[in-house]
Amino acid sequence: MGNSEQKTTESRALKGRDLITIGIFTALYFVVNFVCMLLSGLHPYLWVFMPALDALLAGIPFMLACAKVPKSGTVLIMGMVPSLVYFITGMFTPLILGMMVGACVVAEVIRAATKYRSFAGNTFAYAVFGFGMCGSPLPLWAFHDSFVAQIAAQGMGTDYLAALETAANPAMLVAMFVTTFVAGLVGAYIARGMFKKHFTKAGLA
Amino acid sequence: MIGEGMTAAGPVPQGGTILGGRPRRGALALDPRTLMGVLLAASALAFMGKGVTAELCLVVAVGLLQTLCGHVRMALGFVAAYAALMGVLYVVFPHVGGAAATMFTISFTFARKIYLCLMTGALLVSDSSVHRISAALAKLKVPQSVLIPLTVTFRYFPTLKEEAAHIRDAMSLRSIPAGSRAECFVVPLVMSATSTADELSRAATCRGIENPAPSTDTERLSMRAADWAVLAISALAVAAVALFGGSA
Amino acid sequence: MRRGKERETVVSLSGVGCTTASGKRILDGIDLDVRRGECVLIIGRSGSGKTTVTKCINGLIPSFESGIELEGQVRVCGLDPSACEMYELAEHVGSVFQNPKSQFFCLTSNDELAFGLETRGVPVDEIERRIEETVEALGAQRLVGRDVSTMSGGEKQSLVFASVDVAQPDVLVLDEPTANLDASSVRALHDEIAAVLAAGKSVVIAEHRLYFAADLADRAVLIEGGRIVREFSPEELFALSDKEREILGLRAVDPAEALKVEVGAAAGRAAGRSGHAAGDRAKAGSGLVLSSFTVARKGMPVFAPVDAAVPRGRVLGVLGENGAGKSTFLRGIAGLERGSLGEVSFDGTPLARKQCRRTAALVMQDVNHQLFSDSVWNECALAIGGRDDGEAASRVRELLGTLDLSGLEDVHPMALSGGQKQRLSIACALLSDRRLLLLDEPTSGLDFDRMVEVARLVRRLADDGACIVLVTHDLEFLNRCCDDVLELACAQGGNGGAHG
Repeated sequence: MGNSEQKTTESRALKGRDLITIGIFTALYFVVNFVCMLLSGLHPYLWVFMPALDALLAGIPFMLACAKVPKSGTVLIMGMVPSLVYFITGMFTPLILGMMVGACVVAEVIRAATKYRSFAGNTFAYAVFGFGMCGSPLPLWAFHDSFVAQIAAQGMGTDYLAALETAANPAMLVAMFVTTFVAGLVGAYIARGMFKKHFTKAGLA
Repeated sequence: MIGEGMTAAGPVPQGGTILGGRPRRGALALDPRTLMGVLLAASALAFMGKGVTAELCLVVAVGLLQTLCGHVRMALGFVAAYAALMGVLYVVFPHVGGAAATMFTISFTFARKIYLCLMTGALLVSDSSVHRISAALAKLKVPQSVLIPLTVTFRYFPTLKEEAAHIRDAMSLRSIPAGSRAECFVVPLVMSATSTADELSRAATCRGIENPAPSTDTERLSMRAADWAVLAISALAVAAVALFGGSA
Repeated sequence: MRRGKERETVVSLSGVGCTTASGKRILDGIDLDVRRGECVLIIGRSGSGKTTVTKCINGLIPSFESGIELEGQVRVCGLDPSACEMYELAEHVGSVFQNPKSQFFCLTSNDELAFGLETRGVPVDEIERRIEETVEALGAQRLVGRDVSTMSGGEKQSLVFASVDVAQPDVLVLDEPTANLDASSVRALHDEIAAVLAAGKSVVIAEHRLYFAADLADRAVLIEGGRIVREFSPEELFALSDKEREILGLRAVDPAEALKVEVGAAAGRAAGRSGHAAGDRAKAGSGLVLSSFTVARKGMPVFAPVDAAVPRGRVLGVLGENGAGKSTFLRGIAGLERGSLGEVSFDGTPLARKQCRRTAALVMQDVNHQLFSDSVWNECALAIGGRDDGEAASRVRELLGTLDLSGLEDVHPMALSGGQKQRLSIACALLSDRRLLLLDEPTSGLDFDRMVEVARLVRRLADDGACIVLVTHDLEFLNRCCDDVLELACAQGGNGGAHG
């Protein structure tokens, strides 16, 4: 008895318990993300490749959340929570928010199309999800002129401005997206290794 | 900032009420939604062209807002840090140079641009508990399916810190080859996160978290005249900078 | 049955059985009625099905355990848990679980107290009034206005209990609520349960720490192999002889007995007891010697300086009230505390902090933090220095045999039972040639049989030449395996806290 009801309630809609599970894994994701954010302040190139670093390291919480909550919305929430936190703490977020929503929606579509349980599908979704954090260094290009004007006004030499031009040229923008995507694939692959070696064997995924 | 400020209990409510109540630290007691509005204005201002004078006025204005909310030391700290930041950007980096200048010019310039956001964010976070911020977001129609994970995320940070410390201790008692350190750290951490997720889900479900009824606003949030005034001033500031801010 | 006579039935299980997906029958033909205002104790060994009964009442079966097949009829305040939503049931049933760390949802205690009613949309003034009433009735003023992450485990558990009670359920279901608590927290929880009973609510407690709940209960049902095999009145429970009780796998009933230290005088402070007859293995200067040892945090010593000697072959039990720094004491010996003062020496050699970490092995209360590999075998290989060939392999095999872990070589450490994890951790300590074993609350949450097993293991390890220091609040356990007792005192407190 009770099984028929069980079937009907086990829908694709997120329940309270799913939200809590997502919250916990988001905390893990956020810690990785936050550390990458801090590192990105150290050097312009670190900033440009921060999304790639993030994608490389954060595969485990993402893939676990997807495995534990194979429903639509998991990834969107995982992206929105850190964005909200960055907004509340006063990081500049319009671009992060925009990129994150876009990336998460695409990732959700990929997961839905691959029925939520396929490794390849989740890997692809994760690689796309990584674009969300590209919103952080995006001001380098989006507000390029404002940056250059201000740095020049502050009195930095022409050498530096020339170096800045190389860091913020369109080719770097492409490089950022490509490395992020590739790092996402690698990150998911690392996560898969951990699943095989540990999590599946320990009976938790 | 995130680890400390957001996890703290927030201002202790006074006057016999157990729940909610505005922070009563200073002359102004603002609704978190107001500060979120100020944050939006600060984000809009970040990449608008504005002269140094305008920028300085804005920093002082937000510092004043912090002071009025009772955070005098925070205001002084931010204004002093702003002075230091400007000194570094205008004097130290261009004239002294060196590796630090190449490394930090961009991030410091970025920090200067988003300085108002940082100031307002710090005020919001230290003025309101996570619960209060989440209640404010609920009023702004952010769905529970985002707010519950948001709350859980913050609730889990202190636990995560504790677990990580235990695991590091346990590792230091064993001789673990350098190559497998990362794995040895991550695996127990993820395992413990998974079991916490499971146990917390059970406990919260048994306490009715899946109830579809709209939750009570236990923070008793309300927008008052002062809130609207601060919002209006912020909007005016954005308009003024757009029109007469000058370039930079 | 002092209370609850002729009152309505709030929980009724009739012919309830549970079968796992693998076909194992974990509950069989359970008939149990709980009346309003009644306190029913569910007792029995670990794995007997106590927890499963509580899950049938609070709806976790079938809601969370979709693999379990439920049969028979369950009615809780007129609701059928398998046919209603969990939030509907939540208005009538409140649940408290074992682990205080993973049951609270909010960052502040006030928000936590409000949580249940908040999700229901009860008006805020009403919530506030109910919180005030509950806090008053439970005497829980110490819990108000706190940051939950700074609360002790015992306080967290009391907070969870109070929060559940604020929602005014008709029945409270407690699943081994004291498993991770020390004596004073257990006392606090006991009084809070008494207050709830006095208010006319029903309470169902699954426990094997009988002393904690025996005087609250109107009756106790004993579960064995998933069936109710016996029912006791409180008088019958108290009248059980030690022998009968131990045969049934139950812990002491009488608080006076559970909380009595029978081991000889404290080894601590009476420095220089190393010459004491300590078995033939105890040579002079062998084993652990602490002189004026304490740990400072923020410049203040956590506990009064300790002078103690634990020769090889002996077991020192460390007691102390909540917050006396028992765990800090062990961590200090293990070299995990920066501010350790005084001297630690082992086998006659004074140890620096780093050497402590290479000499001692600490089995933490939560042993999950210290198992790192992907199989039992690799965990052992890691401990022995990465080798698992020839001599090393035979050593590992032999040790796994002695610790009752044979046949589990390929299992992932996290898939082991709690006791197996603990033994694996001990195996790793022995394989890396640590002869100073520090155990932190090794019996928390264990039933009688398993506690006795751990006590035997500790004894055997000591007899094989290990030097063992264990922190515990389980006096039944302490009395079974320790040679000496050290009562840790707060640094400011002067002489040691009272017990018994």
